[in-house]
Amino acid sequence: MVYIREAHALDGDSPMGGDGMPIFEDPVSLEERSGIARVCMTKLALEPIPALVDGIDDAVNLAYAAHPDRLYLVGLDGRIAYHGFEGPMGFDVEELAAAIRVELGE
Amino acid sequence: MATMRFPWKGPIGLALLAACSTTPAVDARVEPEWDDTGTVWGYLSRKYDADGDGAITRGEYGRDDESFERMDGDGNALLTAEDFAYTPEVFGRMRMAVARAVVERYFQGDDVDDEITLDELFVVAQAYDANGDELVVEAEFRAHASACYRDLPLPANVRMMGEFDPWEGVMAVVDEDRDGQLAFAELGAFFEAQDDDADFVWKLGADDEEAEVPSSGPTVGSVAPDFALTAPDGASTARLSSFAGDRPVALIFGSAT
Repeated sequence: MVYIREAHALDGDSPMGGDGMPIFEDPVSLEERSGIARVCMTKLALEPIPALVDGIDDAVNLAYAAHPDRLYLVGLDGRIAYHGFEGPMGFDVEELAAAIRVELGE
Repeated sequence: MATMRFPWKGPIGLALLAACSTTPAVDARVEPEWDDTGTVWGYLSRKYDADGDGAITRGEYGRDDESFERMDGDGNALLTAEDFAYTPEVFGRMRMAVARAVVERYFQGDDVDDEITLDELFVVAQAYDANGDELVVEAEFRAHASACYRDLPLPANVRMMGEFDPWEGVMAVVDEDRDGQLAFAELGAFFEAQDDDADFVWKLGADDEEAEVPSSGPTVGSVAPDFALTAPDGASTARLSSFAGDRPVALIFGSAT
């Protein structure tokens, strides 16, 4: 998982929080974003998935047009093997699973 | 980000962290709290209202001016509970879309076409309003909802929300005074707020975001943009290109919210 800028920070462009949605401000440092990432991975039981945190300059987020969420598969050759559409509507884990099976020759 | 499902099992090429530890561990003192039951104002006041006077000044806030001004809804240079009182904007576009979808399907009236007018809205509201007090309560809504319902396709951004209760969906946005009743005035205000061209007509399906989702980012077959990032605990880093020739890498981009 690549943890990126919050989709619905309470001080962001599309604020949400409470009523089942976690309340977080938009981090202003890597340390702050990393802290939220740690809590998120634990709370959502995502710890089996190795995680990385995007820098506060959002460089990787921007390079992959990933905001608010998105799925990609990078093949053995280092090229994009699967490119999901932008989330949340395009966030399709079944599509990613199928792409992985193709990449592994299953 | 909703809880994710992983239907595949067995060894697959998920990203592994390279054990090239060069960065110090992150300071554990900044561990945030996961709070999904409180309120935004409660969170902010506990964190920033140092003198406990019910107002957060720029000095108390201490973060960027842009965020302060974005939250300062009434523009009085203070963050107060009033800035975070219930408004449709606080609840975000997704809930607005759900509320609109409910109104389009439960308040369209007998003229089943590709638009709903303000007049039609009030005619149907009167049909719900069994006691004629210009307030629709839950029991009145549920008593007539099936008869008033129009089966229209849901827009993609509403389908994404999964199943929802129509009364709760419309009340979450339209019930501005949070009294648990849907006033005709509140319905009218919601209709007018969504009526961009002020012609007292909604075009159905006008808020469908699916067609607006562009395709962007690196395309299939292109070289994946390389990066080196740190794990959340700061104890290790990984570079994407280090996995080339070894295993495929699934990239799952997301955040807690």
